[in-house]
Amino acid sequence: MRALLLLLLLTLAAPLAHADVTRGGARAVGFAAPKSSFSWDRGEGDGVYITGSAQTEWRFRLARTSDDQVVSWAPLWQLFHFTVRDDAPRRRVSFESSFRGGTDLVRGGFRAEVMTAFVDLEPTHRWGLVRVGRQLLTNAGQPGLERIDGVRARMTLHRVGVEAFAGVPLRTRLFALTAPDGEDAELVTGWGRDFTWGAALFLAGHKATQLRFGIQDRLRDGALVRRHLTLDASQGIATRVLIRFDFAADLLQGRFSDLHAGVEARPVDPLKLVVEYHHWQPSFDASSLWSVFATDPYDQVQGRVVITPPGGVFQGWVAGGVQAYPKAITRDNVPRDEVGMASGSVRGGVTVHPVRWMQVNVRERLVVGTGGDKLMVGGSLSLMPFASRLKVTARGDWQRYGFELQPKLAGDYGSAGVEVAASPVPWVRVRVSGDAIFTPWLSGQYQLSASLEFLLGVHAKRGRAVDQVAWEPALLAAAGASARQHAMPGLGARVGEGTP
Amino acid sequence: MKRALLVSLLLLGLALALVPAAWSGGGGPKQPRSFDVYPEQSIPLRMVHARHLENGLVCEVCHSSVLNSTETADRNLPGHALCAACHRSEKPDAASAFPKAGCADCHTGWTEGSHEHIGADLQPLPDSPRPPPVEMPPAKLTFSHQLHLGQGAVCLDCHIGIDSAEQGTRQHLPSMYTCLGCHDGRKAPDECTTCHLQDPGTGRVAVALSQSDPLQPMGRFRPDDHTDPEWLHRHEFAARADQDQCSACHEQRQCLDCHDGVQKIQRIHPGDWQMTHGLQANRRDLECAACHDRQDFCQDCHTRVGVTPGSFPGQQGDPAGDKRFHPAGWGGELGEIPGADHHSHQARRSLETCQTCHTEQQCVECHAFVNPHGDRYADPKNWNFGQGDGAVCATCHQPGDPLLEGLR
Repeated sequence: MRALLLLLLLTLAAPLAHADVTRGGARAVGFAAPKSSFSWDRGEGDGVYITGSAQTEWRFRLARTSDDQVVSWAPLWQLFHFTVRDDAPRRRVSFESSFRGGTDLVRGGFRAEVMTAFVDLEPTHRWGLVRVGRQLLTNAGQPGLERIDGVRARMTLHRVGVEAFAGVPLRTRLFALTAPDGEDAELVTGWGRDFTWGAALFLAGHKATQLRFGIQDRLRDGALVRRHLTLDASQGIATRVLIRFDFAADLLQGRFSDLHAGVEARPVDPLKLVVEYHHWQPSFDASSLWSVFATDPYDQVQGRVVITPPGGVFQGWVAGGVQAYPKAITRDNVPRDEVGMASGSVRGGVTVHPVRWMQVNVRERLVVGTGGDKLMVGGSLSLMPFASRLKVTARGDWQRYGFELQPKLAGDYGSAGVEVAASPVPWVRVRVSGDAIFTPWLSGQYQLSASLEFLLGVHAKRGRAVDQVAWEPALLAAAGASARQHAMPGLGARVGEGTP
Repeated sequence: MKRALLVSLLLLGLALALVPAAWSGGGGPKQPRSFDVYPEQSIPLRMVHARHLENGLVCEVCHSSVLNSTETADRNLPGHALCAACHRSEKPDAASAFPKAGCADCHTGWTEGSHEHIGADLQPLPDSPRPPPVEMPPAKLTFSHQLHLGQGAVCLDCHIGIDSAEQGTRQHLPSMYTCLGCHDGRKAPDECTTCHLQDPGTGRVAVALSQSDPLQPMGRFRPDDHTDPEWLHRHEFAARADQDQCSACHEQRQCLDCHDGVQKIQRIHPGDWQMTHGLQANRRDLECAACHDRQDFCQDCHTRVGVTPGSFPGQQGDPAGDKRFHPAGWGGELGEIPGADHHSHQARRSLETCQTCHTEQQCVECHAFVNPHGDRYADPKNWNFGQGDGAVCATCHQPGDPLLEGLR
């Protein structure tokens, strides 16, 4: 710990040999002024943009209990999102925020929360960043993202950067379930209970080299409950080979909770070969009772072959791997060989995109070994006429399922669904989908969902006084692009949308 | 831990063995150029760059307009008059210094005769037949020849191989690998939008450049291959190494829509996943917690459909064993040697799965009497309290318990 702090201090004390724009190929910001490719670089795009979006969705589902009693036939949610962002060119202060609200239509009541709301303070040459507010961290050494209320500061000096963050970790409370006994206090994180801080050293401005070494502490009720050391490194070699190495070590539990190593190779352009190794062992807060239970790590080796000939008409892939656990024994050290130590999976898929308006996808997944077997075959057919303004997708899955822990549930399962999505203009999307699920032990599982998304926005035209600003929907600018240029992500989804 | 390190080192060794093969491929002229960035060209001409350079010409003689070019839309090709200045045989002094040329010598496939179609100004006559046009759509990039030349770049820095090529093609336009040789954030800016276009609607990198697939990273430099069929499940490596890289195209809200969303995108799992996810959840094939909050998302659904009651025979309305969630023998009896279906085996392998429904207190109800610790726990060095005072021990152990000697 002391060594790391010393290294941080030494780095900060190094000569300020920072160069222009050294955020490591970071985000694009701002909006170029019309008819000038370099307006952003020169800081000329000084127009104020505010963009927003909103979404609402309803889902209906017939749910049944394990003893076949109908529980509900009811809508589940209504949700709304709204985002505001302003990161105009070379602006020293910018912000991004998003909000959501919704109603659990079964339980009632409206709840809302701020998902993100942060302000960025940056010098115009982008060699540093201070982000204050509610934001995401992706390098927390634990699954998924971490959302904090706090500060993240980043500075890039020459080829090395340092970053530090501190704040209160948050978890969503939108529709959070209250435990049956009403005691869900242990689930709560937030102000007054938790705190986290961390620091990292990283390389910046290297063409194909990434290296990030970090440490993060997590405190709960004043006590240190986690200390993670993380390393994320990748090295690309001549665009043909990529070596990746990541780990998260839990220093309190004294274990690698997560360790990945992988090699990706492209001996020829249409062919991609991947070999990966993964070691994992669960890691819990030291103050949690879960941390005193004995747990077993697993090791996994996986491979993947992807063939993508030029033209984007076809993509085929096969993947598979083996996962191994230590031998199962009882607390009396009696071996239980029948539990099994290894399991494997084979996955594969083919996507054909013969014409621009049609795509066919077939995929399979076979899981065998400890605990049961499962074979899944699925496919989808998508039609995207009218320059992708309309997308109709029919999909189906079939699974033969044998879960040894629930032998009564073994059998054939399946699902069929249709989704119709339309985007008549780039800033509106309507989507309706219906799914039916077939199981050997429950019948009548249907789900219907519908959503309407629209993207708002205003753009104050450049160079006019505030009282003369000609506000226009920012989407009008987007609408000026080709019909394919959807402002909404997802509708024009490409080939290779995989399923596990 | 040692085994994990050993396997990792073996994989790294394999990678190093592949280095020589990779080096021969490279990211230069052999790597195909993206049609999204460099649209398809049609150049029905015969023009040998190498021969021109051998004859002492330099690039700017023919491509003089590059000196003032600031846009990719600029057409920096020599016009007919410039070529004909040397290649037209009627020009008095040309034949002595340069080879005579008929129309078909440059315009491949031309069968319409020769110089009767050329006027005195060396331009084609108005009503003369025309050869197929040269089609070179502008690159969908932000680029200024003027700026690069002013910074000291020379043509061959970017147009690698053109000096020995016959025809200039898309392959002689710079690849991203070449660009990043200078655009490293120090010599030149390395923001994505330094070169890539911006979307006027979002301000992020414009990705819908063509009618084909959107522009997206290919994983050539970083572990960010969006075209990988399992990208949706494997993008954590790119995000962990540099989260700001993602924000070139994505807002943080997009991350939260899945990772902290109430409704998830359904294409992640098969349609009947909700009925069959148990096996893979127990096996931890996927990291459920990456997107789902177990104690909200999972427990919510389990509670809504009543899957959880009956976990242990005789408790909470056991449904006669037929459709109980856990099998018989899951709980075991005190004093008996646990069988193959005992929960301890699954719990050791996937303790997080237990957390989906169970609270710590439920486990303690039994484990206050049944030692939950592993073998190594006898040694106080392996106690995992961090800087805490071992308060967690007091859940089961009485103050003064000699087993807690190590705390004092």
